[in-house]
Amino acid sequence: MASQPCDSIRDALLEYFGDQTEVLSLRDTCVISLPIKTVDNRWIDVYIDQRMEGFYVVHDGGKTTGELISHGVKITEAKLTTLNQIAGSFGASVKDSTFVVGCKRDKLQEAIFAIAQCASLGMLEAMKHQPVIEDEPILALAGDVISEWSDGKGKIKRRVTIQGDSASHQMDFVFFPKNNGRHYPIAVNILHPSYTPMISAQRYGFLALDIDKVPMYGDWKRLAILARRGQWTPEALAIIERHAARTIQVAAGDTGSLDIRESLIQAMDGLEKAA
Amino acid sequence: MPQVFFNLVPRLLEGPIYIDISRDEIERILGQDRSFDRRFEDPETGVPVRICIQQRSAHLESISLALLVHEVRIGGIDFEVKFDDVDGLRGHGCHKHIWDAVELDADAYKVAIDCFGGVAELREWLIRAFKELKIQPSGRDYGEPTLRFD
Repeated sequence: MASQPCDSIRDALLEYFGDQTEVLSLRDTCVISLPIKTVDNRWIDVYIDQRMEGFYVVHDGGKTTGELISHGVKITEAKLTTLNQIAGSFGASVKDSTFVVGCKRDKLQEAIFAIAQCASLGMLEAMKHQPVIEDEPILALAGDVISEWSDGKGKIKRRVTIQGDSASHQMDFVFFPKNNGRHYPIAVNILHPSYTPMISAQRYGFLALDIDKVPMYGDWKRLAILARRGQWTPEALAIIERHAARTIQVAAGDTGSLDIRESLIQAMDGLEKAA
Repeated sequence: MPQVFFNLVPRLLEGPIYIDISRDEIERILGQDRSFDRRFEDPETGVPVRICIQQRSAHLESISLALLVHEVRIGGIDFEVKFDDVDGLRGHGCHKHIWDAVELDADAYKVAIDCFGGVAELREWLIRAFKELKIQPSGRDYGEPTLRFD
């Protein structure tokens, strides 16, 4: 290609860049909107704070992780590690869920583009995200609490199907501790009284007796979370308590009252120590 | 059989969306953690709704609020220096996310709002945002973060 068209393409690109780059002053912060889009069709904003004469802190304002959360993406340790790796590739870091890099005046443009690239790549997780259709809000809530509790202790798997002596059974969550030589997995099931408390209890009893016959599952600790407290009969409760190492009852009604965090963490702690 | 609530989202967004907490408590949690993330069940529609509010810096412009169902944004309020609105036109600053019943999310459709006239207090921002999104707190206070009486 002749040099003249190349120059004109360059000029046109620079003109486009100039036209499409917008700046907003928010008190002591400059926010630059670049003509670069994320995978979720957002223009990238880069924040610039001057901390002292000639020194700047350039960041994404926490927008990338904020947008991921708003998309429904759960920021796990693994995802944070990925974000850190992206940041590291561009000489930046992740601090308080924000892509950030410090620089002097002569490196400011480079820093702005580094943060823009971090913000762009960081949103890739949004492309993989799918709606999560849960049976009940309580399942989602318990999953959040158990995932948080298990951080650093081991792995959580959801909807684990295991083969008992005569039938297969589904566990809502199974916690697998890091040190499997010393501790045993904890199986968590959420039980509902809607089909009748006694039938739910008997099914749970059958599950427990059936998997206890399989040596590799015999040592698993079982936690039963009983939805809709107050709807369980004493006879049904007695069956469940006989077959679960621990039980937690959760209030009926709206999710605002489904405050199971404390009791669930206590139960998991207790089972982990006992296992 | 898992229940899918997307068909009830338009009805839910008509409001009011009842949440069993007080606005004071949300404000306290935001003040401490810079984020508020809770799940509620709207008693009228039975839809489980998650509310995420994030304040990424001291600027009120940096607050975003997202309403999620099935871990998908169904509405919210956000701030971007520039954005493309629902008609493809360039918008600036505060905007509301609008439910797209075809895509089943509210990520792409945005309409400009006035940033609540430049409010200076978090409390005022919450009042305006809840009014805009038709969110109705119950006023019940669960005392988080732990209330201090000393």
